[in-house]
Amino acid sequence: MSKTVFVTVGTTEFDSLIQSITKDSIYKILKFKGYNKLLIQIGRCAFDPSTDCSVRGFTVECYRYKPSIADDISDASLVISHAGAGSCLESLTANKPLLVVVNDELMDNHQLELARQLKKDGNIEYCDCSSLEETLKTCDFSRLKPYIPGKPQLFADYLDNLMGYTKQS
Amino acid sequence: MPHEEKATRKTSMMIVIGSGGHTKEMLSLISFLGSQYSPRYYIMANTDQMSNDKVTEFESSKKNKENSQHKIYRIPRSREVRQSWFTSIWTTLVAIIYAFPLVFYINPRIILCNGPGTCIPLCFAGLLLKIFTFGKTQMIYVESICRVDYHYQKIIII
Repeated sequence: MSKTVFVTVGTTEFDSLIQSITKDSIYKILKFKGYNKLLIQIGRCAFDPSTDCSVRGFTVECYRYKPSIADDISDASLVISHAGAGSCLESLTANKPLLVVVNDELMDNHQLELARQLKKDGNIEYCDCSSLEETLKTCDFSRLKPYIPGKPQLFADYLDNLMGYTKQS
Repeated sequence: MPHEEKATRKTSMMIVIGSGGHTKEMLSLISFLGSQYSPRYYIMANTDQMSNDKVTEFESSKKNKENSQHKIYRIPRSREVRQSWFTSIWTTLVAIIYAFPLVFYINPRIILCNGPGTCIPLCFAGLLLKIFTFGKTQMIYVESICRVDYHYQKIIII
């Protein structure tokens, strides 16, 4: 049975994550933890990462974009994502263990706020590229708590109220 | 307002689409809105093909198709991720030149945005429109979940 780790950088360019994750040392840790495949969505990555892997019984694949990554998320046993809200929430609502890697090269790193809060609530684990290996080694992702999604209905009610529409029940 | 009639009063809405996660967040935010919010004008960056596809998909999956309309407009991006603040000034100016006529031409009742770079020139224009229409235009800024607040969220009406 395949146990996949899915990595996504969304629409961004996050080469340092791709670089830090395509390493034999990482593959070894993942293999040790029971995973046997690494699937990487590389987005605008400036280079084509090597998918060579010397760890036996472990495969690495990558692609740039797909119209929807929902299938890859639902097939994965662990998701490693950039800190973009969309990607984070997509994994969380799919109820997948999530490791967020914060891009500390971005100038206004508001994404860090989200990652911090989600970690505080116990929904995710986060790290940066330099601590990625250590985090993968030490973290027990099965202990993360499920995430409770937002309620867009509240916004619809609010707007109806504001614009003077009576509520349709 | 041209869009207001008593029984089937419609509210036109300009929805400013960001990119990536902002798009996803915005679409999920408006997913429960009724068909009275029509027509919906989506504004997005001309480089953002992915959002274009997502909005098209979102609209075609929406119910009540017969009495709701939508249109997509694409304008230059005011700032790319990683672009420096200095060159941002120039690209923002270009975006403003596109944004003003668009906002005044569409003349929406509601301008909805959730904070990507694209929304800044549109909010500028929206603010002026609001003054010209004596406050008829509502600008609603929904704080992104990135700014950390849980169950939908902070809403600021400008």
